[in-house]
Amino acid sequence: MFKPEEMAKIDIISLGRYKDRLLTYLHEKGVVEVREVDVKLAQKDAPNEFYRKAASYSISISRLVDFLRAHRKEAGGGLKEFLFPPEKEKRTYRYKSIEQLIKDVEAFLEKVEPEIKAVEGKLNATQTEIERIKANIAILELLSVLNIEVDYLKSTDMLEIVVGTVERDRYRALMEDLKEVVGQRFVSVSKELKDKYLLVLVFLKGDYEKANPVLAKHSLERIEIPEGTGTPRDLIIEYNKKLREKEEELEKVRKEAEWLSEQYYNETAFYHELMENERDKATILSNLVRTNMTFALTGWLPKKNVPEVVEGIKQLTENKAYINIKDPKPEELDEIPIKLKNPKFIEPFEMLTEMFGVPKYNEFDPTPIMAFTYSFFFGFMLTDFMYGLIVGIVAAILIKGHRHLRDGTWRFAHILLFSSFFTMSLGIIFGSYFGNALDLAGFHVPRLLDTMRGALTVLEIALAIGLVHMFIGYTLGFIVKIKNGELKDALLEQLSWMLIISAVVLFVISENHPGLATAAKGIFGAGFVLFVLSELKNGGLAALLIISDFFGFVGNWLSYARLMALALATSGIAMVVNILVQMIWGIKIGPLSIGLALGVVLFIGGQFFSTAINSLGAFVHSLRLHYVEFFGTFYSGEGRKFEPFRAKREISKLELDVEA
Amino acid sequence: MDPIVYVSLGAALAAGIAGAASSFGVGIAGAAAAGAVAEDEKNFKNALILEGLPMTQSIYGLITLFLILMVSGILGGGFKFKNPNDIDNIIKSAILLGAGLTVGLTGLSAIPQGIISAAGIGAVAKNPKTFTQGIIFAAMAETMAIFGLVGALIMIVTGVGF
Repeated sequence: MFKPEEMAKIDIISLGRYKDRLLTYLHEKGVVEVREVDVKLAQKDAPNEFYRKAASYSISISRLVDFLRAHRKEAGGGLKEFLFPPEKEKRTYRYKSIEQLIKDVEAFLEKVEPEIKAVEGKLNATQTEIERIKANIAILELLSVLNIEVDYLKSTDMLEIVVGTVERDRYRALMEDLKEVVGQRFVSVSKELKDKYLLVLVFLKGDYEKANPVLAKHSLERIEIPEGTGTPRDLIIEYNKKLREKEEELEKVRKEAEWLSEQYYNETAFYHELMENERDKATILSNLVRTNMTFALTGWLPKKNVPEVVEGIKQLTENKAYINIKDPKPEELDEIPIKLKNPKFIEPFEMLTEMFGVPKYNEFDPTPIMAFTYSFFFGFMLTDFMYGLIVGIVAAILIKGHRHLRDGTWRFAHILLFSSFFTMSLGIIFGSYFGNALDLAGFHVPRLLDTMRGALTVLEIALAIGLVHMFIGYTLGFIVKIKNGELKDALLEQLSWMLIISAVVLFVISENHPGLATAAKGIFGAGFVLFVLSELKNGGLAALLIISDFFGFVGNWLSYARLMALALATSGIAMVVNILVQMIWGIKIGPLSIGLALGVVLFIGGQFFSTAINSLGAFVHSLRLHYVEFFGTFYSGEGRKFEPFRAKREISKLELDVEA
Repeated sequence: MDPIVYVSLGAALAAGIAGAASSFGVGIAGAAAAGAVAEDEKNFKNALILEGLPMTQSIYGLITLFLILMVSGILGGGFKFKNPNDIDNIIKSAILLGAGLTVGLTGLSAIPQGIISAAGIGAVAKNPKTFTQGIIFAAMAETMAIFGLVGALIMIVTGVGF
C-alpha cells in the first residue's frame, strides 16, 4: 500500500535450443516485462519460419471463426449476458514446441478448412443466384406493361433490338435525334412509366452503329432481357418458382453452416487463440539477441516472483542458464515498470489511478486515499439513500455476474458498491429518500441538514472538504519530496501551500477566538513568502506567474463547490419529479383515478432517470476533482505501467510438456 | 417593473437559455454519435453517454426555475412579492432575476461541451479506451455552469431566503 510493488531486473543467457520453451514458460507465467537487450555485439533475434506461419494462420483462422460465429445458433448478447456472462470452458493444449504446434494446427486446418470453405462458397453462390433472380423478376415486372413475348425483344440476325428506359424530358429529343440519324428506318414502342419512358427500339443491323452514339448521348439505360420464353407474366411465375427453390437451398446451406458451427466453432476458436498467442510471442523476439548457439533476454519482474521464476528457468534449461537478478539503480528510475500494490478491497480503485497514469517508482501511490475520497465525493454528490440503494444493487449484481472474469466491469462495479455505501449514509444524514418524496407524502423525515434550505452550510462543508483534500495532497507531496532528497522543492512548492491552507483554517477559527488572528497572519505570510520564492526561478515571468498560480489555487479550491452543486442537483431533480407526481396524483376521470396510474409510472421513470443522470454526474465530477484538483497538488502520474509478457487465455490452457 | 415580471423573467431565462444551449450541445454531439454508430453499432452505449453530457445545463436551469418559483411562492401558496410599492419586494425579485440570468448564461457552456463531446465520440469510435478521458474533457466545460449554479444559489438563499 502507498508504494508500488518492488521490482527487480533480470538478465538471462542460455542455449538457443531452450529459447522456445523458455519464452513459452515466461509467456504463460506472465510476470516478466521483456525489454530490448542493448548489446551491440550480438545480432537481434527475429521470428523464424514457424512463427511467421503462426502469424499467417492466426489471420486465416480468424476468418473461419468469424464465419462460424455468424452462424451460431445461440444468439448471445443482450442484458442477461452483460449481467451474467457465461463462464468459458478452458481446453488444455500440451505444448511440446512451436514446430509441433504448427503441425497440429495444419492438421486441423486440413480437416476443417475445405469443409468450411465449401459451405461458405455454396452460401455465397446461392446468395448471388438469388440476387440475380430477384433482379430478373424486377425487369420482367417492368416489361409486363408491354405484354409482348420476351423472345421478340431479343436481337435477330437482321434486326438489333434495344430495350431501355430514358428520362421523361429527354424522350422527345432522343426520338428526333434518331430520326435525323437513321431516318424512318426504325420502329419504336414506348410506354410511359412514372418519371421515365420504357422504350423498345428496333433497328436494322447496319443502322445500329449510327444509332448507338445517340442512345448514349441521351443516357438510355439498357435492360438485359432475361432468359426464357413466353410473356413477362408467365416468366415471372417461372422465376418465382426458381426463387423459392433457391431460397430453400439457401436455408439448407444455412443449416449446414449451423451444423459446421456447432461442430467446429469451439475448436476453431481454440486454435485461433493458440495462434494469436504465438503471434504475440513472435513480436517479442526482436527484443532478444542471439549468437549461433546462445540467446539473451532482459526484463523486469516483481521481486516477490523472483524465486519461482528463477527456479522455473533452471528446471527448463536443465541448469544451463546464466541468470542475473539486480535491484534497480537510481539512474534507472525512468525505466522501472510500475505495478501497483494494494490490499484486495482497494485493488479495483487502481483502475482509476492507472487511467490517469501510474506513479514513478519513488513516488506515492494515491490509490488507497483515492479509494476513500472518491467514494466519499461520489456519495456527497449523489446524497440519496434510495439512489444509493439502486446503485448498490446494480453493482452487487454485476460483481456476482462477473466474479469469474474479474474484468473492467467487475472492478468498476466494486467502485460503485463502495460509493453506494457513502451515498446511502449521506442520504440518511441529509434525510433524502427519492428526494423529498417522503416529506410530500406527509411523513416526518429526520435529517441533520437540508441540502436545499441549508445550501450555504452545505457549501461551507464542501469548501472545507476541499481544503482538507488539498492539504492531504500537499502533505503527501512534501513527504515524498523530503524522502527523495528534494528539500528545496519540498519547502517551496509543498510547504508553502500547506502553510497557506493552515492560515485559511486559522482565519476561520479566529472569528470565535480573536487571539488566533495574528498567528494566522504570520503563517499566511510565511507560506506566501515561500510561494513567491518558488516562483522566482521563472525569472522575468515570476510576477505574472505569482498572480496566475495564486488564483489558480483559489480556483482549484472553489472548484470543490461542485460537491454542493451536484448534491443540490440531485435533490432538485428528485424534487421536480416529486412535485410533478403530486400535481397529477389527484386527477380523476369519472371514477377512474388516472392520476394514480400515471403518477406511479412518472415516479418510477423519473426517479430512475434521475438516478442514472446524477450517478453519471457524480462519477465524472468526483473523478475530475481527483485528476485535476487533487493530483495537481503532488502527483505526476508519469511512471511506466508494468506490461508483462503474458498470454491471453480465455478458452485455452497451455501445459508445457518437455522431456526433462 | 412589477416584481412578477422580474421573477418570471428570472425563471424563464434560467430554464430557457440553459435549455436552448443544451439542445444545441446535444445536437452537435448527437450528429457525431449517429456517425459513430454507423461505423460500428458497438459505439452506441459510449456515444449515448457522451451525447447526454451537455444535457446537465438544462437540468441546472430547471432546478433554478423551480427554486425561483418556490422562494417567490408561485409554487405552493401565493406570490409573496405582489406589492410593487414595497421596495423590498422589488429588490428580492430583482435578485431572483439575476440568479436566473446567471444560470441561463453560464448554461451556454453546453454548446462548447457539445463540441467536446462530439470530438470525444469520434475518438471513442476509433479507440474505446479513450471513453473516460473523453468524459473528463467534456466535464471541464461544465465547471462554468456549476459555478453559475453555485452563484445563483448563494444569491437566492442569502438575498431572498426560503
